[in-house]
Amino acid sequence: MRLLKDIISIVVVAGTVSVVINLFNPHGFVLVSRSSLDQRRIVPISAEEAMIKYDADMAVFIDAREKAEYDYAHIRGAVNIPVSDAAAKQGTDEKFSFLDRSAEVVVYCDGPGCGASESMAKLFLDRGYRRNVYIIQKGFPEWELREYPVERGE
Amino acid sequence: MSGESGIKRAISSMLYGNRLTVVIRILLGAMLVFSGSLKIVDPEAFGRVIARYDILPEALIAYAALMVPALEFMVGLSLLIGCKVRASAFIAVLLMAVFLVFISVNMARDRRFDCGCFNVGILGLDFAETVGPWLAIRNVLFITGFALVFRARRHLFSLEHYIEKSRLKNLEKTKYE
Repeated sequence: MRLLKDIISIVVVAGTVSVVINLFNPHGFVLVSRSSLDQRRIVPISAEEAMIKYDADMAVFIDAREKAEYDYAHIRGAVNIPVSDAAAKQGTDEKFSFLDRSAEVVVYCDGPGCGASESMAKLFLDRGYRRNVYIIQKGFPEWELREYPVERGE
Repeated sequence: MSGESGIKRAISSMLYGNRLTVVIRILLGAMLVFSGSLKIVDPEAFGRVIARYDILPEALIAYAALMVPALEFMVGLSLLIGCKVRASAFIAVLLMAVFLVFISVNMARDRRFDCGCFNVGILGLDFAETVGPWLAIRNVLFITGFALVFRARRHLFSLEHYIEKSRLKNLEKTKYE
């Protein structure tokens, strides 16, 4: 019993010392919570990097814009999940079944300020997706500008 | 015949705690203080070492990189000055056992890399030890040493011993007063 008490006290003192030293150490760690770790799994990429994934056929492209915008023009092969729609159907939709597959996920919306990609990425992480979610930082306009494959509605 | 009983006697005296156990305790304690203090100043580098072993999940690496050096240092210091010796030796055995598992798993994966055991790069020394059988054997030797210290009942030249001795002396004094 005394042994156990001694062991616990040594571990507690060592833990406290390590945290205090870490606070003042320039080589220390930033101790983060789980949610900020999740935040780091949302990785912004350029259209060029997205194109590499597209060419290699290793990613599912998700269009987070509204259906009308998607119908007008979208990345060829992309799946449309409007972010408002996705939030409403959270937990039931089989549209999300790709999350269980090994493919990477690239999300895009209308540009750097649109925010839909990020909310969508957060939604995926909330649903238990364990890998990085890539978002095309400058969105569909950059993709279009570079004349990468686009599908247009009639 | 007498030789055999001599060995037996030496072993039992070591198990009870003689000068040799003291030497082992002080050497291993100093080693832990040395390695702990080198790692404590640069947890980031030690985190990279832990990541190299590819066993702990990423989220735990930061905590391990902070905790392990602090534990090494505390345990080493306690062994060195001889305070809470049994508890420290017990933690040291556990630490070494964990290191042994990490080394063995990577040996089984057939991976060979700098073990980062002492982080001596910080002192400007270019000295690398590679993960391999020798390292595993060394760890087993360390475990044996710490286990011996844990098993010993008496720790000469230690704070515990000194306190106990002075307590008994005082007890004796008060008895005859």
